[in-house]
Amino acid sequence: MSHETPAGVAHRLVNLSVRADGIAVLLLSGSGGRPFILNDASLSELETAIDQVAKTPNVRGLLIRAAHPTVFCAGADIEQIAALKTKSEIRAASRRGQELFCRIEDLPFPTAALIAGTCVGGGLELALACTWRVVAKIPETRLGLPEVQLGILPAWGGTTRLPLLVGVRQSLPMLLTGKTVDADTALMMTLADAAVPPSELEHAAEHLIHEYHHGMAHGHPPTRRTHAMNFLDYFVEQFPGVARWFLGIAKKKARAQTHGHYPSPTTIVEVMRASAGEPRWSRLDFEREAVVDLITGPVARRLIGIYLKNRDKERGAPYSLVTKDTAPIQRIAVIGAGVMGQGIATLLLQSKKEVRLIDPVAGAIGRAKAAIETAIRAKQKSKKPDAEAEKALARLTVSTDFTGLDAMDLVIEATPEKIAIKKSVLETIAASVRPDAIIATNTSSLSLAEMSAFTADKTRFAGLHFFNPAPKMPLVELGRAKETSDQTLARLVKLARELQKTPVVVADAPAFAVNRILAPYLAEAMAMANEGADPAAVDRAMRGFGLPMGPFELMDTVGIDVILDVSRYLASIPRLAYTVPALAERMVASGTLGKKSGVGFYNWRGEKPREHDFDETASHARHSSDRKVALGDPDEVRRRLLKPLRHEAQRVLDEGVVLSAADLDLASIFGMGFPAWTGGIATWISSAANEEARA
Amino acid sequence: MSPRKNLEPLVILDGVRTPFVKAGGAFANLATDELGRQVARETLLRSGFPADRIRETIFGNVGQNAKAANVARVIALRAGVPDAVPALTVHRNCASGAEAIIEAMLRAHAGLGDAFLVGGVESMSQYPLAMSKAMIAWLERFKKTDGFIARMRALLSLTAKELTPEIALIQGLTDPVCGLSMGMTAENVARDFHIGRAAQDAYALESHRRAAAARKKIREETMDVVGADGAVVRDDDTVRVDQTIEALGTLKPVFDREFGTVTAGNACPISDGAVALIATTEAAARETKKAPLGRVLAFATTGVDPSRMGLGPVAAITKLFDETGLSWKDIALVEINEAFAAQTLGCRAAAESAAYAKAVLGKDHALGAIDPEKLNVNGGALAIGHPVGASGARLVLTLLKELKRRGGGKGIAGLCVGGGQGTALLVEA
Repeated sequence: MSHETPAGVAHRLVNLSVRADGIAVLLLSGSGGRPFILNDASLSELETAIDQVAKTPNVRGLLIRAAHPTVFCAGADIEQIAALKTKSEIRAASRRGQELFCRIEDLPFPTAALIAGTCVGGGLELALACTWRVVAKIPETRLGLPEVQLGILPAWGGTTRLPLLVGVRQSLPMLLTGKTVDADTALMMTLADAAVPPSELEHAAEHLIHEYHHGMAHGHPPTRRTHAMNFLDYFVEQFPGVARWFLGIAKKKARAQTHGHYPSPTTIVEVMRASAGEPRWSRLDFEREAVVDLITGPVARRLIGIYLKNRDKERGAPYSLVTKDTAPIQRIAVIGAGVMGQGIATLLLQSKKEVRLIDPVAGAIGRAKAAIETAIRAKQKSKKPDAEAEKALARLTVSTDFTGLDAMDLVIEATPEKIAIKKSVLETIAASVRPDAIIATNTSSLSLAEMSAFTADKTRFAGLHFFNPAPKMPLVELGRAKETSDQTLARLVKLARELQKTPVVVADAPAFAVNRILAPYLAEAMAMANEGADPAAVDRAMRGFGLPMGPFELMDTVGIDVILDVSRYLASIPRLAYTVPALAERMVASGTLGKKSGVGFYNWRGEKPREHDFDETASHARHSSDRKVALGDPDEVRRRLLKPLRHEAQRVLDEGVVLSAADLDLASIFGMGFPAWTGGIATWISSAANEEARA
Repeated sequence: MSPRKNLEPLVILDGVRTPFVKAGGAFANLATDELGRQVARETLLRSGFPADRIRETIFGNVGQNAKAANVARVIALRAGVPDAVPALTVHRNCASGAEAIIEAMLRAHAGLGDAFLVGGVESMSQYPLAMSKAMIAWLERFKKTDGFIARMRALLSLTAKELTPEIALIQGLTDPVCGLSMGMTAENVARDFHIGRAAQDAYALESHRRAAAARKKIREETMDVVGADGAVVRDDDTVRVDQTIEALGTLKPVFDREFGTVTAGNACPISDGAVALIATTEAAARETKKAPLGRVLAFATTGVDPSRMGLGPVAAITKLFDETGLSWKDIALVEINEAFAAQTLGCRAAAESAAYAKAVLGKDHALGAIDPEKLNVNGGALAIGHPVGASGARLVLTLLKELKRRGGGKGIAGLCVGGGQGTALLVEA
């Protein structure tokens, strides 16, 4: 076709138009109304558009904006990154983006990125190449460079430009954690040049362009707003030697924090250190060579692998069944206002859901409401009420009776783990919900088959197991009972994603996947404590492996009584061949329950857990044991504790508790905090098996 | 010939209210917008009526909250009614909650919508204390004062006149035209109809007895609200199960301390509370599968002598009967808001009095006796409380629920209105 039809134009990813007033506008659109991402196709179009605008005469400025209302650019296509095999391919891919963004930076007129919503990774690197970044003051606006979470670094100029723009000290946390910042923070750190309501983005940018030309015409080009600097910032920015010294310290810290498991943070600091005082081209060389090394290494491969495993479209049914037409879940009742109920309600409210919290115990409702209000208002920065928090709280209703259930799309039962209670609650719910509503249970151990008998429609009953604290823990186990329909699971998958959680479907098996795998590991830790091991030393050793907390801190946090309950339940199932740790029995009997009672393996009376001589305080609860085992060696600790983990994970896999090894990887990372550098517990087992086989 | 006879009945699909709670008590920290938000969301939820089907939100409110001006709008948005749906707050003093219903009826009649979220809300706890005029003048002088000595001198010039605040609650309960407090207007009625202290106390006692006996029934219209101390409030907290005539007899008159008969015991409590109803046209009601609570068939509003504002219901009911052609024999139940025992007893006396009908209402016959067995059968505001902006909507809710329990029939809800007005609604369940 010689000329494009309007429909053809609409399918383009990058649209360039030049207005009569000399301002060019580059509109970024994802295919099919999806967010814009940087892949082979969109980069080509972007290159063409930049060529075109560079050749267009009399352009006064360029605005780059996205068609999507809440995503400016979702970053680079990670599938395409994963497909890069050879060093030369990686080098070429990095160079391509670097050159494109340098051309944008070098355009003879000013450029502005109009950022409404998410702007991450390659998207922020694109925005960093612009003269200005004007951000929309909406909650969805998040700017960041999360490459480090994939084990790589921003290599389209991000590692180079961010420190140049906001300074070394402000860019370090963004580059090393991958955490995003909101519009106000971006403005404060001078990452953004203006933060305005979304309707004012173009206005603000036009104003900046006007000022620029006005200034140029009068012989004083506008200067950039600089961030607040203290003495250290000043010296770090002024003297490359000081920057190198400062970054040397940062590198040591990064290495200590990652226990040497993740090469990317130290590499990022190293690139910044080498770049200090260097010109742009050599800085870009450093970041490019660094990304080549990182992507070809094992850790980045595994981290990217986790990301790819977490895409529902590729995970098969029921994950892949989610479509735009999957019936949404908006009104949710949470039955039971205990710790889990509160956490789930908080999470749901923060994700724009309407929540009805029901608990027949009047006192529980009052306490829960106060706790939810505190949790949701906690993000409030100033004394001024946070409008988003108040909106979230306005979506909450509470009740001591089971009224209003027929308005619900989903009812989550989060009552105590007693089958008699569950029976009466589930029967009441089943009698009052609409026929299309889903009933879910947050049980962590009870049999779904047994509970489904209390509901009217077994196809719309499922487990929905959140981990404590629900707003923070990224995993949700979706328990599939025998009759649970794929459509029910698909609706819950959709909900889990709206809550920013990773769903993993698990079979109706005792304790499902995560708690089941943890139980023998925690039992082994208890056994070690019984033999005289120092809990703090054991925890240190396991943190060294990459776990966020060691087994003893975990048990104290969860509560020894809860551990005991789960242990007893698992021990009641003969085929699991599991025995209740005697120490847990004695600790519960003596009221040593962990964080909730003030004393467990640690002393929790202060702000933070303190180590205390466990022998001293808990001697009454333990066997007097003269046999002090030599458990000081971290390698020995890890060898003993990882064995039961590996063993149980293999059994979970063999028994088909999870749908795939990939799902087990996701469950272990997001539910147990199993270190991501391993690629997940299933990947780790197979590679560990390989290593053992090789040895 | 009144056009009101032709009004299409307004269907009340469903309704819920908060318990009514003594001002300064469990709801003291719940402002009108939050009380209203809770009750509106609860009503939408329980009724199953979609929030995006609402065409306007109308709430009655008397003591308006400076932080949530046009409180109906704030309530609507917080309750999940879409941004594009308008909202207005109405004010006819003690009948504001009834006025919201009337407003919906008129709008439906005018074709300005067919589904309304209506109700009333009052936080008498949160009526402000305002600076006195003298204090404002002093502050203005102080701002202009220069120098340490001059400022100290200005500070020393502060007297009780400046420091005494203006109490909005007291101001609100005083009629600026006749200069009387609401309690004094009740004293007037008591004097006119020779209603003694003993009769008033006995009536108040009966109101408590009926409300206490109806506790279970009343729970059908109330929702749970978490109070200030975290406790869940489910029941009206001013109903006294253990009230005695002796205890009532020990109370001193409040308004006319020397010769008066109106005490805290035979006047309604000052309360916080909110009511919400879903009101629709017949056609819109058919969209939902649930059976409606009932209908509002007609209304009448009228003015009376402000110094005897308590007799407003008699004038309003007279007008309502005139316009509808109905009489007491058609009416199964009556709710008259009990602002004061003297006022409600006064209404009963005035309804029977041919002299009153002739002199005040210009009628040849008395309205006719109000059967005490049909009147306020589950107790009234003397026991339950009177959050002024909410009571009108509560009467309709209470009346429809009771009519329904009794198998249907027509009922009248009447309210006296500070400033000298009366409102009456004719309902059917």
